[in-house]
Amino acid sequence: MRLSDYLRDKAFFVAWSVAVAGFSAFLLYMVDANVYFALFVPCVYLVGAALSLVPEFVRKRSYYRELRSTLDGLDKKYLLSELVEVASFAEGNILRETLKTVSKAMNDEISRHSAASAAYREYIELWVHEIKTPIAGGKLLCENTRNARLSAELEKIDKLVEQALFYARSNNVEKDYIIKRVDLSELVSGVLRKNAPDLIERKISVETAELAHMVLTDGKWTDFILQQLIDNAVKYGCSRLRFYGERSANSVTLSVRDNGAGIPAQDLRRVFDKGFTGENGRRFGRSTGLGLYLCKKLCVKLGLDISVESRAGEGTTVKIVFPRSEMYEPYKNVSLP
Amino acid sequence: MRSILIIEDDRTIREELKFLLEKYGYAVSAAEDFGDIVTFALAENPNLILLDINLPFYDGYYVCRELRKRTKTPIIVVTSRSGDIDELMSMNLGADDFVTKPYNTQILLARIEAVLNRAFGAATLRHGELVLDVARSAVTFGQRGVELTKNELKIMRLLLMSGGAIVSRDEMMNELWQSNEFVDDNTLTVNINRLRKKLADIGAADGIKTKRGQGYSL
Repeated sequence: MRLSDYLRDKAFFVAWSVAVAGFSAFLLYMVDANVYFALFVPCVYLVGAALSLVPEFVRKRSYYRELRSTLDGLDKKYLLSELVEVASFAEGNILRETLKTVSKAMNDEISRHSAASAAYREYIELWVHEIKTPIAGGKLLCENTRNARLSAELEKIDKLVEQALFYARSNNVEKDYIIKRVDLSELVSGVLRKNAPDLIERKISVETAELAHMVLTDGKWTDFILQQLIDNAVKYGCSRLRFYGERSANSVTLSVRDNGAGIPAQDLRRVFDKGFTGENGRRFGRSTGLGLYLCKKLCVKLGLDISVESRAGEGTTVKIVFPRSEMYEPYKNVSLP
Repeated sequence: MRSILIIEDDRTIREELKFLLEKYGYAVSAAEDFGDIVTFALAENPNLILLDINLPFYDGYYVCRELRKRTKTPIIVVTSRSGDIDELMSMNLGADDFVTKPYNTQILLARIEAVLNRAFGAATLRHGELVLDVARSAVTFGQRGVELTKNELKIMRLLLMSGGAIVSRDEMMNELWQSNEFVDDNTLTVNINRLRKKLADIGAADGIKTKRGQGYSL
């Protein structure tokens, strides 16, 4: 609170005081008082009035300055109402009470929403588990009646259902992951085994190289990320898929390279954006703009780095960097919260 | 013939799984009443139990624990819940393996076989005079025998298990992929040709027949 702001607030009082002083000078002059006396008395009055404003100004300024610096220092601004102090003047307390009431109402609203969103997430998870049984039944039926095409469709349904599950969970990764030392080659092999029928039917040849590394990550989430990458490669028409590892001093990089359609240069920057489908989305259809978005989001939560290199018409390489922190080494196989 | 008991409350899965496993040469029984499932399973006394987790009356974990108290029969838990916790729980309760729905049937069959082999030793498969000893990775025809490589063994086993029915190239490749051999079309052709030559060497000249556009059969 600056002095000029304060005085503007007090404009009426200031004008009134000046008017009273002027009027009293006029009266004194009228009753033939000495000119100096007629000016002196109003001046004394004005100085007194001005001084009476000082303590109030100092009090208010220090209170609001404190409030401001608390607010600036807060990471989560909405916690201000918990920290605002009792004021020594009435307006300050009105402000304080208002803040507290507003904040409480907002808290109630937020908890209502988070309860609703948690319930929704639980429902999605439950639903996903429920739907897996009919999908499994359908796949067995296809197997027994040798209906490969329907089986492939069910496979697609299963993958989309899986994506829904991971999307629902992706905001709470920290509650549902175990960072362990995982064998990179087993991680890749596991995803390839799962995708074998689809990749074989599409005559996609797969090569793996230099994958004998241990990396620190959560198996389930990484499996999901690799699944998205394979889905993309298949969707954008690759015929060769290559997985290779590379070790450096403090990280292991897994590269997934396909020879599919590639990504146009102008789209490359935005591939991790939510809902972005770009040129390829228009050409191939069936893009949700969620796959790479989820990959990026999960990588960030797992402490992995993910990047995409691509040239339109030549293919795409996705690189995932697993850090090799020495800090973790003493805690092999210990799960972190 | 090895026997498998299916404990699964979804009728479609139960019936289709029974059909599939019978096709692959297992004697299959399935529970239809889950009220006293533990007694039923013990009375059936199969070689292997496929156990679903979501069951009426008692959940699969309870059934698994109760069974483990009284029998050493191998149990594979099949579930749609895919959390680490569920896997851990199943293993702690004494299950031998854990498969999540919806499973790839090749994977399920491979797991079943692996668990059975662990418990009872590898089987020998036969078709006419052709006998495959899986444990020794060797095939004999009459008096003469020959050793097979890992890939050849997988292909031979698949052909023998389907008992004369046609096995497609894709199925063969899938089988190899399931043991982390990510072979392509050409490699499969090479493997099959080598296997044919080996069979011819021991006298089974027309051991593997080509069904144009469909696959191979014994």
